[in-house]
Amino acid sequence: MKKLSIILMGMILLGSSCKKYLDINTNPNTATLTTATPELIMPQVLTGMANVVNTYNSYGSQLGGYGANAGGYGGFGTAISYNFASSDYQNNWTASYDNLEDFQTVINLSAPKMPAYGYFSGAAKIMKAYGFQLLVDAYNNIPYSEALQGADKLTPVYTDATKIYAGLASLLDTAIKEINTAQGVTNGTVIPMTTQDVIFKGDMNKWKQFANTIKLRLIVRGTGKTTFANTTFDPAGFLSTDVLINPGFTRDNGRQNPAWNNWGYAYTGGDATKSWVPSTFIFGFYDGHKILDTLRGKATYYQFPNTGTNQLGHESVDNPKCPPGSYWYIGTTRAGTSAGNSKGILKGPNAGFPIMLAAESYFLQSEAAVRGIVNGDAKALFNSGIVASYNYLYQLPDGSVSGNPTADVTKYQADNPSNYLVNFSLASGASQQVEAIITQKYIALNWINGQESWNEYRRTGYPATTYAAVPDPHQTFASTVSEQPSRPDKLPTRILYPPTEGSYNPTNVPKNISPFTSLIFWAK
Amino acid sequence: MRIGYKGFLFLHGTGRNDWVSILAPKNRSFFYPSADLSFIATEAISLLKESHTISYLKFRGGWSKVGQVNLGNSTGTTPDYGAYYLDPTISPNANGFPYGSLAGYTVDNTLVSKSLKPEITKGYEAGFDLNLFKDRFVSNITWYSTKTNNQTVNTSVTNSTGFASLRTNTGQTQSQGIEVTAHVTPFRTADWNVTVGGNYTYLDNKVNSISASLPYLSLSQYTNGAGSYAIAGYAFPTIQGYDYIRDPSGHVIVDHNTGLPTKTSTIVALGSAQAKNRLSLDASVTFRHFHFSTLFEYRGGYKVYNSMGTELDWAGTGYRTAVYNRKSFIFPNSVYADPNKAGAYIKNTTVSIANGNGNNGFWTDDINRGVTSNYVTSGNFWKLREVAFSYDVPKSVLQKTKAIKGATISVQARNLFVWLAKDNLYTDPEYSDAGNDSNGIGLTGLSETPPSRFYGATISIVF
Repeated sequence: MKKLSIILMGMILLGSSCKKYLDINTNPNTATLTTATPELIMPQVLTGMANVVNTYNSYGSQLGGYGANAGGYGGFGTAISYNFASSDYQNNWTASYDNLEDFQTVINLSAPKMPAYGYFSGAAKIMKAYGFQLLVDAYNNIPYSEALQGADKLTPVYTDATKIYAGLASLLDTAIKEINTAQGVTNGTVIPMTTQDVIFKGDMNKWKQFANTIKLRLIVRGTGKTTFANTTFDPAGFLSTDVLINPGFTRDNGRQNPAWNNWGYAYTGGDATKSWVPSTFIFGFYDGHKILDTLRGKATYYQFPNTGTNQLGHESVDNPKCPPGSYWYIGTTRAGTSAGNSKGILKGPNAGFPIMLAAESYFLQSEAAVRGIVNGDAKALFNSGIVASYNYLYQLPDGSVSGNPTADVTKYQADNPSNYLVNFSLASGASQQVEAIITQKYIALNWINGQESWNEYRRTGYPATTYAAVPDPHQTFASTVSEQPSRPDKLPTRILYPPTEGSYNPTNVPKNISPFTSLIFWAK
Repeated sequence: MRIGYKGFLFLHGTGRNDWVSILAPKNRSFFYPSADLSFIATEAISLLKESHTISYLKFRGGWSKVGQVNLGNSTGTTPDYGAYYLDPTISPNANGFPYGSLAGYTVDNTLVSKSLKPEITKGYEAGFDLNLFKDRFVSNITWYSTKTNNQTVNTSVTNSTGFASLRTNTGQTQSQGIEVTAHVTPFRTADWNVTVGGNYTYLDNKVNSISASLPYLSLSQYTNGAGSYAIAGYAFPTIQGYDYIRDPSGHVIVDHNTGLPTKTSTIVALGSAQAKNRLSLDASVTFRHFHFSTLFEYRGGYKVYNSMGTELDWAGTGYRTAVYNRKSFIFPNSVYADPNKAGAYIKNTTVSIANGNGNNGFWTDDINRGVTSNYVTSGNFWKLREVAFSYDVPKSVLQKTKAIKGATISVQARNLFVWLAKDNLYTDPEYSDAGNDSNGIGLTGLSETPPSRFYGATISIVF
């Protein structure tokens, strides 16, 4: 009897706790989405955006005329013929959506816990708008409303680019509202972003300024081609400081500033990519061919004014070679293991990565003032933009400014006394004013945010180019072997959708896209 | 369960239920039985028992259902056996994290369908074994047909979903075919024994359906989208890739001014990667202590995509790049649209492509290298797989040594000759760029070294 009752007891115990013991599908080895929090994901996703923008910068700098093929390298193929295959620059797409998924995850995780996570949600929405604008400006129509839904939408439809621009502006409005609501909460339940905010260290006013500036860029680009629901801006105003991402970059494997890692030196001290040198076209804006800009030239290019430059597409044994560290690192220390701590574009492995410069903010405001989109003094904003550009280039990796930007800009303007591209008051009429603004923006974004320069060229046609029968390298940045059959500027109009879209989303991907004729909706 | 009746009729049955904890609770349990029946006619029917011609005749038939859960790896350095796959994970090491004490996580790129089910294969087979003339002729023939539901595959999805791959059940695939083996021994004497024969397999497999939300599943693919796919209504697997846009009769349409064709914007099916016919022929000859054997194999009825062709053309070492002497040429078998009649095409004999060279010319451009169909060739081959020759040292010689009881010396050579299809300019179609644990066959590339011959010798001694 005793034996039987023991067996019965055993069976009852087994039966009741069996279900719990067999429910063993919670993963003890790795963190999963069920245990994720916005605090865990935010630092990584912001740093990820630095890598995304670095990818776009390479694409824009190569298409937009900042760089040319260096000596000692061949096989440039579509980079100089412009006859793009769908696989060219496909990493723009892949890296963008991978990064946007993480921002969407932060938004999804924050949504049930508002307004406590209002700051995280607001910042993530701002970055989501920024990230989607990068995609739309490169690909025009893209999956937006049905994107980032995982298994629920395995073949998302493509949304019209004009609708996406309007949607992004509304998204920024929502983000600012969430931040304002959270800032108004006084009972201490709102969770602040501290070390997780590797851009602004939790300064939410700067986030609102960033949101306003992205919205301004959307409106400046999209006005006339699409309608925005709300074209007013939050009283926080626009950016007056650079947006730099820095989680603690350092000279270590996988932890270097992405631009430094790409073009400067590897963490081992070895050479990075050496297949590109500055183009003769951009160089003409520093060495006096088109504009004389000695001080900024010295802060931009190694060995200025004797920097090696080339014309894109020109292949010859005499082409200048890229030195170790590249021409965009001006430091005197050329040993890779200790290079850095410099002014200029490639400052060092530990420098913050800029995803938007204060200069770009000022130039956007200046153009908006010229076109009547916002109120402002276009000339003052124009000058502030140039000063901000000098200011960024004069900064060392630790953020301290070495030199006097304001005084140097005065000299710059005095050195070009009859040039309306430098002295705003000489520009007569709106179109010369816009040309001056866009050309200065082109110089300010040199090898930093090349994708924005490429976008602005396609939108405005500035800086002005002329492609003669034998192309002059100072007059155009288009390749000498361009296969563009119809446009007079001999430049491509866009890159193609990546091959994964033709393979895995074939019913939705737009067909018959040509790199020579298909335009982004805001392009000329 | 096994039942035998009078030594000539046998029935064998099994039943099994699995509970697999790595799936969601409602999908964990699955039951699968099987049964087969065999009838040895030469035992049962006395007429056959006494026959001098037929020495053995057996009929067999069977039906089975098998299930398995195909999730995760059980090989490699860190097998995880598919544990915990249903929950999307986040990783701490993206983009250089952690930076000092600052941790940062990213959502991983693989989705696993939450309602993942086990794979169930149902099949039946029937056949007979027939031996004649005191086993001088040995043969067996089998017909089989199987259907598999819910195969688990890892397929790529568009990045705009936020993920790169999805592990899910597919619809249904089916396989049917016939296997025939026959060997004949024309000489059998005290000294000689000669046997020749072969076996032949015919395989026809097809994907019947895939889920409604995916048009096809990628089994293995290259960055430009070309690769090996499972497509509903086609053989499993099928090569998909880019082709030229063609007119209804299959001619390539070129532009009237430039002479250049156009690449399709999406991938299209380019041919089955599964061999329909496999044949192997073997012969063995024994004379006293000498033994010789050889094996030929043929495989046919399928295609293979040779991705190394794109690299050869880029470098200018590809045979195709020199066919027109690197000069301007007219695209072969092409037509252009009739400017006067919509929908009609005129044979192109005049408009040529201006740049017939590489380096910004036709052969290095995407219009050549990006078009997968240029490099899809027939995968048919004949191979001389093996030739072996051995000698058994006779016992009379061995008795002189007290210790050695038996010794055999043999030499063998493998992979001696390969005869490829005429359009296959590239490599051995048995190579697989997808690796040995992927279903995505039919792709070869630069990662495989050229085929090698192997020679060896063996001495075996029995003490």
